[in-house]
Amino acid sequence: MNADIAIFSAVSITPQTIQELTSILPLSRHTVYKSVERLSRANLLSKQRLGKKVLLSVGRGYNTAKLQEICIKALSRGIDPDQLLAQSKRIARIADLDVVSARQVQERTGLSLPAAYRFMKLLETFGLAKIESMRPVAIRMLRSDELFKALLAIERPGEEKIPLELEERPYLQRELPPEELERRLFTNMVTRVPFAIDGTSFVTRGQGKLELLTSTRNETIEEKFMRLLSTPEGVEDACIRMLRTNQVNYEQLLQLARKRRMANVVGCYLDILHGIDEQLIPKSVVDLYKADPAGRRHAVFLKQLKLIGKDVSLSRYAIEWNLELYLDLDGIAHGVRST
Amino acid sequence: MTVESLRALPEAVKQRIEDQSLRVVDKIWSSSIAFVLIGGWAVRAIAGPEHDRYTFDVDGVVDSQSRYSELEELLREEGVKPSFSAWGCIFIKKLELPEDLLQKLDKDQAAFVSEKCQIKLEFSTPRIYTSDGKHFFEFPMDKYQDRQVLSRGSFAGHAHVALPEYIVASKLGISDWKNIYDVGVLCRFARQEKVVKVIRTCDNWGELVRRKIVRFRQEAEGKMKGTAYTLLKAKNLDRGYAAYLKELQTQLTRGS
Repeated sequence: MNADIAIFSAVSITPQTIQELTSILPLSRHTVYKSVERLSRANLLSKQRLGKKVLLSVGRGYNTAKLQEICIKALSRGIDPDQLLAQSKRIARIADLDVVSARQVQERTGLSLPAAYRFMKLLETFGLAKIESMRPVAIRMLRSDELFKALLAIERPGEEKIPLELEERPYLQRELPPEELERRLFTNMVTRVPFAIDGTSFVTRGQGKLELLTSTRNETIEEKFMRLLSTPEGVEDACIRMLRTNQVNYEQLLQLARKRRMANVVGCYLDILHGIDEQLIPKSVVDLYKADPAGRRHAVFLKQLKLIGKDVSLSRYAIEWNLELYLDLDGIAHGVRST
Repeated sequence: MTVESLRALPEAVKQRIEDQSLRVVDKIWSSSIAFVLIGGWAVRAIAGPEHDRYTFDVDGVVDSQSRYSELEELLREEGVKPSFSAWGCIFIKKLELPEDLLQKLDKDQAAFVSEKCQIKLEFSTPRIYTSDGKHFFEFPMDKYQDRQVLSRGSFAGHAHVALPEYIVASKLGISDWKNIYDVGVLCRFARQEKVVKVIRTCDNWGELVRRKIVRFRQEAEGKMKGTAYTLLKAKNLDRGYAAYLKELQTQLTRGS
């Protein structure tokens, strides 16, 4: 095993002093010192002086944490971490495929056919793929494997999905898939950028604009709309912003609302918005929901705002849609005006 | 401001937009039109750097509807187009960006700026009604602070800014996250007794605030998760906010 990987792996398991490393690893003192210097310069190791000794621990940062995870997991599976890391770029090139043929490996990695077979065999040995068929040879990638995910994390820089921003806000919202959000946590912790995780009460303070990190889910825009419609901020802000994008499909939204027995809740909300801004929600959309035969099951719309009581000006909507409404009409109107 | 992706615009462009917006405020201040600034620019004028977002739109009150035509006259050379509604009037100002800044934008951004970015100037008479028309809040035209307002660009303007107690009192009538956040930012500048006094001068505004303040408190105490609380916590402005609202609620209830 390469000295750098051996030292990093040892420190990944538990922090060590340089003296301890020279006594437990089959490496010369000179090699250990040189390697520690290299790893420290790369921010993979951090040094802390303890009297006459120097304690080494794993450095900070997302990639370092992932590398630590890879080393420990690889060793636990009986794999040499450096052998695995040597293949990580190739693995990343085929990682989006479920089933991979030798031909695809060739095309994507530039390996010769025999080398492609060897690479596929190696992936099976690493526990990152399993044989799908022998003629033609194909492997199934085990993408949900923890080691696989960690390898991809260090090979694939995150791509941020910039949300549609309808106005300048006192925070920056970043919608990221969980793996990317995890990377951001490390980055922000190191750079001291203040951030909060949407939906939790975890907040950090610091200089600059707060980053509100929202973990994206595997859901359609209509599903997201339905989820946000059950929160005050969704009703007064996020749902309106989504409607402004013109990406919401009202037919699909109706289907979904019907399935969840909430067609009248969505219809009522769109009706209220139509009352505020006819351009945002045209009458034809409201009519679509009014004509829906799914019925008007009695429900409470926005239970969370029960504490502020009913807005009498909304009673017309409450009767028409058979709902108990706890909405702040001015809050919604404010949202419509400012988005 | 009608925008789709302001965040993607370079800082220099956003600063220039702010400059243009504030220049209009300053122009009105220099005229004889009785005008009091409320909204985002007013919060900036009072809270300074704590108000850490760009402000593009102008919200203000004038003493009577007859001022709308005077504003139209005054702002004509700014190339604004007025439109009137039951509650007031809106002037839309097209953006003017110099060539050097336009060159910093990519094709999509340039198209976005020239087609969609506008500065919205909203004016109404001092009495502002809720959507149902059942409650109103009134800004006095003779109680304001003559303040210097700084843009995040290079412009320093002046304005007659509504007193913080009036801004807080008006914002307490709408309990969305923006107002919960703004009140949190402004509460250090507005004493509760004065806020209560202001609320009481406005007919049944107090009844509305007594209902809505419950939500303000829930957020300030962290009982209801929301963006406002998160922002205030990150800025260390959450401390004291819950107590401020509690005291405000007590005083409002006491006299009702």
